[in-house]
Amino acid sequence: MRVRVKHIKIEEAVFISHLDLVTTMNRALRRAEIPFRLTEGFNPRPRIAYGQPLALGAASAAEYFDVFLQERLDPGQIKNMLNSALPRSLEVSEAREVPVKSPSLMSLVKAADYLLQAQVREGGNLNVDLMVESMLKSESLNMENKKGQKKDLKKLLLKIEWQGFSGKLGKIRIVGRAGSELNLNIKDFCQFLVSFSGGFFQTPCMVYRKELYLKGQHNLETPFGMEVKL
Amino acid sequence: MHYQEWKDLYTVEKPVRYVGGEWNLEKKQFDQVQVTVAMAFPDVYEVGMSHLGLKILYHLINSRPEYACERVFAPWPDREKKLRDQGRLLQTLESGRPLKDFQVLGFSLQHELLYTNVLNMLELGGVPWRNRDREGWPLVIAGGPGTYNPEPLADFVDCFFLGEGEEAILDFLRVVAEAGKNQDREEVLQEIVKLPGWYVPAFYELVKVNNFFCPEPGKDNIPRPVKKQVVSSLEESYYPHKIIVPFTEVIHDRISLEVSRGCTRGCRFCQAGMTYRPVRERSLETLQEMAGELLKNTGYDEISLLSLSSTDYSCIGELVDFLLSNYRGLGVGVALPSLRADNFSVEMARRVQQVRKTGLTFAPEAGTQRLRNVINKGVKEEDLLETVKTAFAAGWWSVKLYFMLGLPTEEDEDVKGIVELSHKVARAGKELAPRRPQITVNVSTFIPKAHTPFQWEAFIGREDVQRRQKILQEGLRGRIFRLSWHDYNMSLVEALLARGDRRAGKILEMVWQKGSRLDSWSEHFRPEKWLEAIQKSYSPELVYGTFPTEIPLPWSHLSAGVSRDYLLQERDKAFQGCITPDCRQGCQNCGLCGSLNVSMEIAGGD
Ligand code: SF4
Repeated sequence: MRVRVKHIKIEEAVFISHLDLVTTMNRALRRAEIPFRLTEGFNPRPRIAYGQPLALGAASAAEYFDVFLQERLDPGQIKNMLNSALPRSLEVSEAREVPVKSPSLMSLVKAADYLLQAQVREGGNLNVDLMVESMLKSESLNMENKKGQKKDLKKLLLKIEWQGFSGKLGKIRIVGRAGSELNLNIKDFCQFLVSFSGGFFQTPCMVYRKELYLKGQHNLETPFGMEVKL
Repeated sequence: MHYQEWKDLYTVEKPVRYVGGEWNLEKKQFDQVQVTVAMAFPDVYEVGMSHLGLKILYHLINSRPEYACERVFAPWPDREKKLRDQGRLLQTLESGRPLKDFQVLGFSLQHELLYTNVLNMLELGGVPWRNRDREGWPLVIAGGPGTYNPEPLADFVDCFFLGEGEEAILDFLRVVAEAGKNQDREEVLQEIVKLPGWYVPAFYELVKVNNFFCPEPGKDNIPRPVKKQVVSSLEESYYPHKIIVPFTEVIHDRISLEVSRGCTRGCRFCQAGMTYRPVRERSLETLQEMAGELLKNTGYDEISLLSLSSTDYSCIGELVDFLLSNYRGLGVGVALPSLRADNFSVEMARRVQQVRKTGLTFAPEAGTQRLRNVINKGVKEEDLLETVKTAFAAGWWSVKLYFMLGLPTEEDEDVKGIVELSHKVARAGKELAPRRPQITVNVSTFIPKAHTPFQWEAFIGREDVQRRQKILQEGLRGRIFRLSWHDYNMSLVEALLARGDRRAGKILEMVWQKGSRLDSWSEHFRPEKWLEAIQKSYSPELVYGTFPTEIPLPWSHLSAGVSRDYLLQERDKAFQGCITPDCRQGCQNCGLCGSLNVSMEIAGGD
């Protein structure tokens, strides 16, 4: 049986690196006594596969992994078992069965939905709606990231939405391409945002992943098969 | 998490060190407990969270509803700078309270290179670092191997505890609880000094004898010597059923199952061998139960059988078999961290490590039989070679050999012996290993440690070390060897603090004030600061010299249980090259069991 698990990653857990998250989840599966299958090889581990690694420091409502089990169990029960073995910062929100033979999560991921929160310059003034509009109108959004790679973010961006202020933080929703072919590195976008806004938005930006989207039959869909239209 | 808090963490290296929130952590309401303890480990999180003693005491104290214990580790310099720039105090992971708000602040003194961190953490936590400047809480206490010569820290720590804390910490906390929150410091200290095993420097006066300042009781009823305390039965002693599981990989990231405590092989340089006596073992049944509970409550997939010498444990074969047959199917591995150079150990290693993923480690410590006799390391060359041959034939190709430089009576010849022995091991490897062997030769510097038969011996000078390192370097060329040694400057600081009196504490304070910290991290270690301070205000004799046996040493007011006569006798035997057998085969009259009213505890034993 193959089960897809969705969990949050908030508070202190945002500082767990992806590699450490996999280890942490392996240990939780053991503590919860989930009858997982082991990987082959010299160091057998529970067979789990995450969809898309999250950058260090980012929070998330939508971390997904698949786990393979040796016996059938009610996915709701798996959720409860796991939650009894996980800190609240990594709580499981949902678990559902998926076909054993379906392609890996990682190969299906196509987009990710983020909320960015950035501090704005004291006394600064910018019509963000206009800025977003001009971003949308531009043919290309070129930038050079900290590693010196030149990128055009235009084709990686599916949606930008200005959501206004909460206190001193400006909030922007971004849907970017994700996955192995085209992938918007959210840190690149944050850096781009700072320079595009002429320093109105400031780094570091706090990132929150709201959802992950997979390739569906016609449109994108959530990892639990809900169709979404952007 | 608020933006500012998030940003402060996001902009330092490895923020996960400072956030807490791990599985099995204990968090209590402070208004519902009688005593609050901050357990301070003066190194970074990944090192501190690898230490079993810290976990035992943390869970033990928290197992009592009337006490709360939280953790704090040394911050990395980027984090420290942030705290200082923002005028914030160092705080615990659990409740985020600054150290100054606790009643007890306990430091674990694992080795001397951590001492600058002790001063730094006190200051960062808002606690005056000199004990005489403190009023009210917290009481600053310390335990661990460093307490066997506490003098360099005696101006900073209020009370030192000698020995194993599992029983004593509860007695101590009871005294603190009874004192109530408004008690006068002095009065509490007066109660603590009555407890066995506690050295409270405030009640001692420094007396100069020859070259040293030695503490002597200032009035009646102050103990001399202060005697180390041990748990009389490991089997009956507390162990945690669950331990904190870090969110990030720490140095020892596995369950440490303490199968036994103490080692009685009697290596004359080894402080742990003298101070952790007598040998006490847990029963097989208890260990089986502990393993099951810890695996279930942590989710770890590796168990390490912890002991100063794990293959000495009486029921090692049965325990290994039990763990393998019950848990291997679930992907749980077993590790044996300390192996003897004998075929039995290789056989054990073979059983737990079906894949030869990591190398085998042996510690002959000295290169010639003559010197091994001096230090009482009962490893014969034939046995070592026989053992490595078995290991190579069984599929290992990587072998690590540990040696020391600067042992008493060492000559260049002995160092050439290291070269020869390593070549013999290499030759055996070429002949028998499944692929090109890798021989790692790891060389540390001998430090004369308090309460060992070599406590009076000299610390080797820089030139001798350099010449001998060169012998090694020239003798161990070729890709087959990997040679590494301990930084001599670090050893020098260790020697200064391991054998120094109160004046070494002045050096420590001076060097810390000039910005030294995290001295065990080569990227932060600044030897020039130490060398300058030693040159300016210390006597080199106190670092390097041979100490006279007739006069008291700076730690003579403390007793590790082993008698002075025994230490002297062992020292004489060392110079005659006479071996002293393991006291498992018969008591060698070191005086400890009688003095502490304990005896050896052997599992399944008679
Ligand atoms: S008193 Fe005897 S049995 Fe006890 S530790 Fe010393 S030598 Fe060993």
